[in-house]
Amino acid sequence: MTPVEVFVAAGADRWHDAQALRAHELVRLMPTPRHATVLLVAGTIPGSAREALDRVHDQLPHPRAVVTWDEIVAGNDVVDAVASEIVGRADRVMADPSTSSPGRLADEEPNDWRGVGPFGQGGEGMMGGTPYGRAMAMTADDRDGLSLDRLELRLGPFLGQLPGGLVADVALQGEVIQSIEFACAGSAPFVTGDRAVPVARRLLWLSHALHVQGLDAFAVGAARLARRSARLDDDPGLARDFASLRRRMRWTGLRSALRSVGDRDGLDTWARWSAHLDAIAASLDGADSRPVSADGSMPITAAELAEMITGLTLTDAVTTIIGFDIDVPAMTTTAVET
Amino acid sequence: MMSALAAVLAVTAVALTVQAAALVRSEWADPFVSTAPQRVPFLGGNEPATHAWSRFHVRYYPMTLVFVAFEMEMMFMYPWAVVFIEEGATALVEMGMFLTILGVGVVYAYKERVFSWQ
Amino acid sequence: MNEVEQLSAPLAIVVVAAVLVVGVYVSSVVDVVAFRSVAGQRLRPGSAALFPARVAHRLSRQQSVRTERPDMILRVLAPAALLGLAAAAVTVIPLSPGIVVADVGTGIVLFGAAEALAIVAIFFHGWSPNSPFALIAGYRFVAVAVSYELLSMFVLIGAAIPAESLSIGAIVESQAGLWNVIRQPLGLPLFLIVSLGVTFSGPLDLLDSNDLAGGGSVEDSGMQRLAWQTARHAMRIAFAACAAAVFLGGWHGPVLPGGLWMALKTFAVIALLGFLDVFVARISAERFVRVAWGVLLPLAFLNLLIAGVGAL
Repeated sequence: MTPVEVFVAAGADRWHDAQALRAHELVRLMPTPRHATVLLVAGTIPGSAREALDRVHDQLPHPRAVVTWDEIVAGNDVVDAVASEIVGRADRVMADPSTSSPGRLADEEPNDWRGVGPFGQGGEGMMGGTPYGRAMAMTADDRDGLSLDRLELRLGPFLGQLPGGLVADVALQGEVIQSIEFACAGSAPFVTGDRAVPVARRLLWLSHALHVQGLDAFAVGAARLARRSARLDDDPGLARDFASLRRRMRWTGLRSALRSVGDRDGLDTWARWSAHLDAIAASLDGADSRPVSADGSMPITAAELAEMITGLTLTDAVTTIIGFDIDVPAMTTTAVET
Repeated sequence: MMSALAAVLAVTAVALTVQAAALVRSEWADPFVSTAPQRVPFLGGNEPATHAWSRFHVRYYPMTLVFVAFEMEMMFMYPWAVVFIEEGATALVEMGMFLTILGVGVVYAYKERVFSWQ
Repeated sequence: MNEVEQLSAPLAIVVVAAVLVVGVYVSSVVDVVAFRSVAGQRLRPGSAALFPARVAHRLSRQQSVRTERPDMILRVLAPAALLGLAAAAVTVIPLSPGIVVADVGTGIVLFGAAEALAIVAIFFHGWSPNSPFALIAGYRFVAVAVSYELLSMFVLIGAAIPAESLSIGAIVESQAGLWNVIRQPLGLPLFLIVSLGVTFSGPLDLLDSNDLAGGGSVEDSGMQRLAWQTARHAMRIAFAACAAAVFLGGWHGPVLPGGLWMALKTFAVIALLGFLDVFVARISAERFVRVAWGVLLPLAFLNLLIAGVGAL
C-alpha cells in the first residue's frame, strides 16, 4: 500500500491535531492540494473562509474525496479513526473515479478577458485590462533607483507551511518582502510562548516545523512522540526517545540552517527552536508543563511580527514565522461551523 | 567522432521525445477537464490578483555576471588541463596567477554585498 | 587508450534506456527505504520494492490539472528536456571496460554542458505554470545553480589533469593505480554537493521545497508530476554514475567484472544521495550562495592545486 496523499485544510482550533496524522504510516500530508487525493477538513471554518475552502477543494485533481474531521465517530483514538476513514475513502474513489467529489465553485472565468485588444488587454496602449483573465503586476519603486514589478499576494488560510487560519497580505519585489500584513482578530498577543501548553501540542509544533524545513522523516518521529504523549500521562520511554530524536536532529544541519535568521533582540530562529526543545525536554522529564523561558519566544503581536519580516526573503520569512509557536485566533469574530 | 556525437544526439532526442509524447498524450486523453476554479494557481485558498509573470527583481543579477567571468576562464582551463603534465610547473604558476586575479574579483564582489540580497 | 567500438545509434538508445529505467526505479526504491528508516517506520521491503510501480500507476490515473495561463510548450518541454539532458550525460560515462555509448574526447565538457542546460530546464519548470510560488522557487533555484555550477567544473577539471584528457574513459583509466577520491580528496565531497543541487534534494532543495507549498511542483499533478520526478531521478543516476567513474575508479576492481563494479559504485552513490535527501535540512538560498562563493570555491581552487602538484 502506498500512503494516501492528503491535504489538510484546518481551522485554527484543529490545525495542530491534524499534524498528528504524520505519524500514521498510510497517510502522507502534502504541501499542496495538487499532490493530494483526499482533502481533510478539520476544525471550525469561519464563514469568511468558506470560499477559500471551496477553492482549495476544487484545486485537488480528480479523483478526489473529502473527509471532515468532526464527522468521524471515534472510539479512543480520533487520529487513528480519521486515518482509517481517509484510507477507506481514497480506496473507494480510486477504484471508481466517477464518484470523485464534484466541483463546488461555479465554473466561470474570473474576468472577462475578451477585451479591447487582441490579447484581452484594455486601457491605454499596452497597459491595463485583464489579458488572459488576470491583470499584470504593476511597478513600484525599489531600492537603488530601480522600479520593478510588485507581486501582491494574499497567502490564504489553508497553506501547508503556515499555521492554519493565518492570512497574510504580502507584497513582494523579487523574492524580498516589501510589506506584509497579517489578518487576525484584533491585535491580541499572537504567540503561545508565554503560556503553558501541553507537551503534545509542542511536539506537534515541532513536527510541522520539521516538515517545513525539509525533514519530513523527522517530522514523522516527532508526530509519533506527540501521539504517545497524548495517550499516556507517564510513559518512561518518552523522555529517552525525545532525547534521541534531538540528538539525531543535531546532525541534520538545522542549527546552521536556522542561525541568524529572523533576528529580534539578539535571538534568532535557532534560539527559539532551542527554547521550544528545552521546554519539551523539561516537560517530559517531569516538570510541570510550564511556559517557555522568557528568552525563547516573548509574546509578539501581529504588527511586530510583520515588522520583523519586512525586508526578508520569502524563504527566511516562512522560517521565522514557523520558529514562533503561533496561536491563530479565529479569523472572524463570528465563527460559523462547517 | 561524428558517430559518437550522432549517438549522443540520438539518445537525447529519443529521451526527450518519449517524455514529451507521454505528457502530450496525457493532456489530450485526460478524462477530466480542468474547470475554471480548478485552474487557479494555489495560494492557500485565495485567487491571485495578477499573473505571476512579471518584471521580477532578480536580486542576484550581479552574481551572475561574476559567474560569466568564471565561465570564460573555465573555457581556457579545459585545454589547459589536457596539456598540464606536458607543460609542467609553468602551467601551474600561470593558471595560479589567472585564478588569483579572478579571486580578487570575488573578494571585491563579496565586499560589495553582491552575494547578499536582503 | 582502449579502442572501444562505437555503439550504433539504435544500440546506444537501448543501452541508455536500460540504464535509466533500471536506475530510476532503483533510485525511487532507495528514496522510500531511506525515508522509512530515518522515520523509524517498518521497512517492509516488499512494499518498498513495488512502491515506484504503484505510485506511477496511481499518478497515471490522476488528472493533470492545468493552470489558468500556463506556457504549455515549456510545461511539456521542461521535464522532457531534463530527461533528455540526463540521457545525454549518461552517454559519455563508461559503464564497463568495453561499453561506453559515446566516448567523445571532450566527455566532461559535454557533461558540463548537460548540467548547465539542466538549469534552464529546471527554471522553465518553475516558470511555466504561471503560479507565484513556482516562479519564486524557480528564480531562487537559479541562484543556487549558478553557484554550484563552478564547483562542478573545477573538480572535473581537477580529475582531468592526471588523465591528460577530457574524456571520462581516459579519467577512469588514469585511476588504475589509485582512485581519485584518495588522490584528490576534496573532489568527491564537492561533487556530491553539486549532485544534491542538480537534483534539488536535501540541503539544496530550493526548488520543490515544503516552505513554498511544493515550490516548482506546486501545480504539478498526475502525469506532469510523474514526468518531473522521473527526470529528477534520471539526473541523479547520471551524476551518481559520473561520481563513480571520475572519483571512485569507475570499472576498476578485483574479482568482479567491470560492469558490476560500476553498478555497485553507482548504487553506493545513489544510496548516499538518497540518504542525504532525507537526513539534511534545507539551507536558505542566500546562505548557500555565500558559502559556495566564500568557502567552497576556495576549496575547489585548493583541489586544483592538489591535483596539479600531485600530477607533476
